[in-house]
Amino acid sequence: MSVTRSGWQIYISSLVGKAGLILLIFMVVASIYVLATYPLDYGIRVWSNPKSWADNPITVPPTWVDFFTGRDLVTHHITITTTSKGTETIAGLKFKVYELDYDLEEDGFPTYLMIKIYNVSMYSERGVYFVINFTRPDGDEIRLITFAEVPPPNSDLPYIAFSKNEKIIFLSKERSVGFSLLTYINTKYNLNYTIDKLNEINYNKVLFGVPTEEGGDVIWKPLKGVYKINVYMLGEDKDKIAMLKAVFGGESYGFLGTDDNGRDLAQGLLFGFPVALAIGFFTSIVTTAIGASLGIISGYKGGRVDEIIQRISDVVYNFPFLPIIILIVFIISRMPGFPRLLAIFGAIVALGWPGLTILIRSMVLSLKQSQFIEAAKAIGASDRRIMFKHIFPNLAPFIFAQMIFFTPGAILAEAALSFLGLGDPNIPTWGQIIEESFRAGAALNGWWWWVLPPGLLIMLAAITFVFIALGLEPIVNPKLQER
Amino acid sequence: MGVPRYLGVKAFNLMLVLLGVLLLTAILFGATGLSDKILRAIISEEVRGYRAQLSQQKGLTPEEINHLVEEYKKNLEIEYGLDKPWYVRLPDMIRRIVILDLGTSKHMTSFTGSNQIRDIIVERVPYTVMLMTTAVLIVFAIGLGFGTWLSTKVGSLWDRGLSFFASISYATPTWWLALLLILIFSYYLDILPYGGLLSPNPPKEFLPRLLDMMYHAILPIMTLVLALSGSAIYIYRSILVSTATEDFVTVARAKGLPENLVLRRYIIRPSLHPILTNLVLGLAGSLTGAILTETVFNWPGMGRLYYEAILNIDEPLILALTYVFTLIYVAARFILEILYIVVDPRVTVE
Repeated sequence: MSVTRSGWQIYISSLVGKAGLILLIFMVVASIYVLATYPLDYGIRVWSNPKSWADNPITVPPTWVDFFTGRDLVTHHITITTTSKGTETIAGLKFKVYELDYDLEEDGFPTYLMIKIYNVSMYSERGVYFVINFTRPDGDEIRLITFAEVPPPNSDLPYIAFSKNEKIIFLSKERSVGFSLLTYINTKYNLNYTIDKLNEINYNKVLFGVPTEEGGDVIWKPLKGVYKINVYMLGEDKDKIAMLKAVFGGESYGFLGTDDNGRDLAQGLLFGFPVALAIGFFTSIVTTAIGASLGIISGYKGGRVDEIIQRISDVVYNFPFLPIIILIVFIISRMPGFPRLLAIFGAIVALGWPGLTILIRSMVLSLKQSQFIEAAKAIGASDRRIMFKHIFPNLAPFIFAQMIFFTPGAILAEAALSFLGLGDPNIPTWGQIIEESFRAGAALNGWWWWVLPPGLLIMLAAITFVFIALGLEPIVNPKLQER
Repeated sequence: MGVPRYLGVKAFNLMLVLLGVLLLTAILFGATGLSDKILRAIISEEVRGYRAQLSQQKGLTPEEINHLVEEYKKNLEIEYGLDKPWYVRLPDMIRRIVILDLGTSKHMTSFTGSNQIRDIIVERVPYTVMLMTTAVLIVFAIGLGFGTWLSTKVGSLWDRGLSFFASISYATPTWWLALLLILIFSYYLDILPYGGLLSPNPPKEFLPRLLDMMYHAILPIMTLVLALSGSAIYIYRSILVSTATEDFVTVARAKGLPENLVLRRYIIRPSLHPILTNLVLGLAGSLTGAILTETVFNWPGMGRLYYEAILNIDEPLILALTYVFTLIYVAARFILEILYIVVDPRVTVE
């Protein structure tokens, strides 16, 4: 009953066996890719760090939904510049000009407009003065906002402003931008809006659109074309901005959309591959090792050892799985600093072994009677030698199949525990991501891209091992093979 | 072996399971210092009451009150065994869990406003049992119905399709399926409520109220049924197929008995024992499913309570819930043992 070449042939000839193997290869490749390209502390350093996601739109669907919506959604766009376009003299004052371009190609509005200023070096204690202008495709130029930045008294020059934290201006929310827009639409379209009314419409519609009249109501329609944000800086000649960034909020993002922190779900879900595989592999290996060894010992030794092992495994086997595992993980995770995933791993192992012990024991009992064991005993082989050199190899294929069979259970258990809030919020497992989507009410808000993919991936991981186990069944269970 | 003796042995084994759970929980809580924490909370509650009582009595100086309170507290600590290590207190801790004397919950209250753990749990039990039994019975009907039908079509396309469906159903996380159904039926179709027990302004009369509750139970029950029925059909089919290949079935057919009769009396009847086993295993499965499903649908049973207790880090409540879940599980197992005797007389004859 050992896995021979014919065993492999039986396996690969079955459809589920092939499917399982292909899926496993896919998962392994994805995991290797993650391990090679992601930092090891990805969870803490990137995933749970709001700074990594500050430029992303919040809860937007994937970009490919364009295929189904019938309208191209505005894609997320970031424009960065580090160099000045030149200087311009306005009213006798020499301004340095920085330009940020944006081409609106889709029939929609960017959801927000944000500008970020990094590391402004100032060579005079008078500081600098900024003017931010907005040029539209129709040639209109709107002065959005002006402000000054002065180095603190007695600071060393050159002083670098916005070095610790970049200056963030939410142009589509900023009140002074609102007042500029009021003046603009008043002079251009003769619309008399109050600031409250403007807040209702949203600044981005005014910034990126034109009003049209439909049945007495004013409807804002997007205006396609190239937009320019010009940042004018007045200061010393040497003063400069290290980097300028403009974020044009998209209606869609990336391959799998974003969550309510703007996190790129595709990235987090990809990271879930090695985590799921590792949990599946390690829990099933350790559980199977414990279960099988206890089964062999129990069956071979008999007597009091057998009695004790059987009693305990019978009791543990009959524990209601989820309630007990919740309790164990909950208590262990109350200990500060204890890694949550390790607690989950330990709990699954602690409850998972007895089934196999009971099975293996009954197999050992019949194996014990066979002649080759008697022969081994007769020539004086030690108990340990008989158990591991004679009994174990005979059961190995079966034990291996059981290990594969246990794996989907372990993956599903980890996901369920993470979903119940017992997982590690710093490690994006699939269960953890669904937990966050559940807490944010993703299903109630129709944010399907945050609900469906992680669940499908959990299913994929589980079904991979179910298929492999089904493919292995005819090999380890000769009764099935005959049919 | 007579019936009482048989049941006695089974009851003893199940008691061992219960005791095992209790021992495990008590050790876990004791060794990690959580049991100290729970007892301290109970004591400080009582001390507060005592202090309030003293301060209403006239003629006591603050120093005297403080002194009396300290004395009282010390006595309580001795009474509750806080002066002894946790393993000495183990039997007492187990006793407390058994009678659910675990003090008060920090954040949760019962629907009637009590924060005694016993009150909170007891009123939630019926909702969970209602959800579970309904789902399990539906799964049983579907499983046996389709299983019987498929057992007559071994090897057909339907039959192969089933084993595929069963794998998919096994690999689908119940709680995710619940979210999926909410997305479909509550968000997109907008025909079923996404959670809760009753509508925001529930009807007062009994019958409309019951209907409202049933309306809210549709999605949770649907989730459990979908999640459990795949493997149920598969298992029942396998059981029936293995009986159908027995010699006595062939003989019955050879005698020319009507196929209907063969199916009922020669195939299903002898298969009842393993079928029942799976019915109860299904119950165990739904216990797990109930925790997750109730969580998603905000169904006010013990499962949802579990989730809230985890979120609020409410140790005594979690301890108590684990015990009650085990108790229900063990009770279901015992009912199974009784049913075994009813359907299979061989059980008691050896």
